[in-house]
Amino acid sequence: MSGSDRVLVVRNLTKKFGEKPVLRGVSFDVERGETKVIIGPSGAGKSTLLRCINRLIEPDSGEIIFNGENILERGVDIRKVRARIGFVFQHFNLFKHLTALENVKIGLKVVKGLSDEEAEEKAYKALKMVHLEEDAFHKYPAQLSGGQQQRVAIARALAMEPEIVLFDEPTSALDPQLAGEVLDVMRELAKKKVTMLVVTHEIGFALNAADEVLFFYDGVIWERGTPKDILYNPKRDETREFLKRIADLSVFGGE
Amino acid sequence: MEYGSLIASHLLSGLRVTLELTVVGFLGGFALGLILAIARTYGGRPARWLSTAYIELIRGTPMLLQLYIIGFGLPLLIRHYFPNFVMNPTVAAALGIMLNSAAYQAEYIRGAFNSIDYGQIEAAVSLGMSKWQIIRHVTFPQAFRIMLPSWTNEMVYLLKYSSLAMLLAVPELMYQASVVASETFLYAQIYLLVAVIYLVFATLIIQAMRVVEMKLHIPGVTTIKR
Repeated sequence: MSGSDRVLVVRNLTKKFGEKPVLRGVSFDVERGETKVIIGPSGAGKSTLLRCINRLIEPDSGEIIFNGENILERGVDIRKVRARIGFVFQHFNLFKHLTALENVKIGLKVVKGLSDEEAEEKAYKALKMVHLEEDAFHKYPAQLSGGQQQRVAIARALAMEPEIVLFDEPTSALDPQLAGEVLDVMRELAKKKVTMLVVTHEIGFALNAADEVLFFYDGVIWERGTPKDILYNPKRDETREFLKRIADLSVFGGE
Repeated sequence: MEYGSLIASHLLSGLRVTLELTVVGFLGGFALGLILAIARTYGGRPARWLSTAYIELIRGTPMLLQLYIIGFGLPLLIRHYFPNFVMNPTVAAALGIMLNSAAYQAEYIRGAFNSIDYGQIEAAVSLGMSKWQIIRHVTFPQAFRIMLPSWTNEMVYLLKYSSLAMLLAVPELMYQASVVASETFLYAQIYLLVAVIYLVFATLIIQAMRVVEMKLHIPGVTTIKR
């Protein structure tokens, strides 16, 4: 793939919890501007995989090359790397003592060292980008709906101007209507060519926003391909089995 | 009442010392307690071990014994090397109360730190924050609010139990009360009056802290019943 601009290259990543192997040699790339979706059964290690990428969890072996630099090597300033990798969590994880606006500002001020005015300006822009309602800007997380909270969390990640944003089941804790408003924002980001790596069960999102879909199973990338290939014509039995179970649970389809 | 001014002057000067002991013990205890709590919650193994050992040592022995060690034992030891050393009993008592309160406050703070969900810490780490930045900007501001009710408890406790300092001959409220009571033989009246003084100040602390809790209240971090 010469000539392509790869933000992230993951090679042979492994991780064991005790005796239990969770990642058994995971390899994939993410190109700049791409939206890559990872699907797969719950409890299989998809969250662990994402957390290894910014070293919230230390992998056992393998390579994670972020912008050409192997961030698992000694001497890497991992905090600088993390500041350039956005992370959106299943349970939003907003700072409870800060308003929506302050939640977005804090990283800009504390980590990036921006002045209050600069941080405020960027935070406003980011919150506008996720369509947060004006009257919610100065509310605390506990006063916001789940959908609003997750959009603030996305804004918090985007405001740092990351080179890639990792999403860990961003809609799994939301009811369908609120999930919808979060997915709308994510679709817009995909259109704007924000580089995203998304772990999700939202097949509809995978179908119309992903450039590539990875099926993660048994600690490895079991199958990969275009959304249509993976979702309509999976080649392997395990993929087919998984999609069938998902389809039984929800309405299969686009929007 | 012929003894009125005698009683008043004794009790007022005693009250002043009691309040001094309470404030110094409380604030010093908070500073040291915060360090102990951070060491025990976020520190490496040696820091955790030291902090835990200190806390258990203090909590496992009577405060009166601690005051005796600092007020009577420690000066003897120091005098062995510096023969002219003199320990002011009030200073000894303030130190003892502070060291004692630190252990309890450390546990209140630690409990508050631990009640903050791990997800917020993961989010802060993911933004690129350092451990100290996380403590300062994420966990401490919440822990502080969460621990306020226990803080009130500790203040009221110190107000009353600083009276143990009378056994080091510190001229605090109880000490002055017993002096003036034995001079005037008005035991019942004087001790009742002292009870009222403690009660008034305890109530003031409780009410003031209630206002502080309301002012610092953030929905989702603390709950307030009006």
